[in-house]
Amino acid sequence: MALAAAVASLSLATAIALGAAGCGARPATQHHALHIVTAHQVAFQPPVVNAAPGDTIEWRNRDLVPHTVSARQNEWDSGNLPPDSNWRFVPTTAGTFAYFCRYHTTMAGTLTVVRAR
Amino acid sequence: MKFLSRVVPGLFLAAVTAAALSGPAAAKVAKPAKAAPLTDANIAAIVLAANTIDIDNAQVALKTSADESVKSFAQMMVTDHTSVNDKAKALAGKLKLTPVPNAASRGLLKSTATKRAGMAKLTGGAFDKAYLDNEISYHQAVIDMLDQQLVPGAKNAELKDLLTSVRPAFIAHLDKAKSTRAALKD
Repeated sequence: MALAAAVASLSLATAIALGAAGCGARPATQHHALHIVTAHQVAFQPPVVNAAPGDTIEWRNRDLVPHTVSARQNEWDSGNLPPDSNWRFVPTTAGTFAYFCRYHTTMAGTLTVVRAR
Repeated sequence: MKFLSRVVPGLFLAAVTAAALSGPAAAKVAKPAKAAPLTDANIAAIVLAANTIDIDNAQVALKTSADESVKSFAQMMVTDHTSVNDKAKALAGKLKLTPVPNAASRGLLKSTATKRAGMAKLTGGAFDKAYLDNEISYHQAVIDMLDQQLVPGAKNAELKDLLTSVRPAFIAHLDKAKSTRAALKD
């Protein structure tokens, strides 16, 4: 699971940071991470994503059936996401967003957006 | 109401003949030891039939029911089973696998047509309950069939993967059918 989570969170910033600013800290500006969440077998994987404002979260539907990525408080919604399609969201504000699939309501996940120090 | 749930496991556990469709004695008539193993082409035909049946059932529900929760469930069945069938057809094309109807797939379609005709005579809450009761027993039967016959019987790895991948969706359907049925007023 840890490996899967690490692989799923592909940091666009990391490669740049390694060459330009050293590794370890998230770059203060400009560079944002890409987090990938896969919908497969009626589940979001990983179910929890920790991101920063400006990061991109990409949901990939690799299931046999359509899904949605819908914030429970209606802050955002992918709409219908057919099999083999993707949807990206860039949060601009900090917060914890519980989300689910409107079609398969047992599918749930959490996006936590925290400002980088 | 329990007709289909009795017949379907019998069909797939034994790949029985049409005689098995005649009633609850199906499982007793079937003799697994003599059943021919299912080929991938047979399995493809069964998958297509199973999805088509539930799409058609849902279409009846969409026309007949006035309950929003029932219609929402039925719409999900149309959407999901159509999507699964599209995937199954695409895989069959890729594998150059021509679905071969067999006693099981034909029996499914035949028995369901009879069942659906009876359900179509119902209205209002009686229809809603009958539809959801059937969805519960049908999905449970299909899940059992997947576990006991189709997944173990599939020879091609991609077909086996498709069958495995679809199971969670059918579980979700079963759970949703149960919760929707429980919420209906008796």
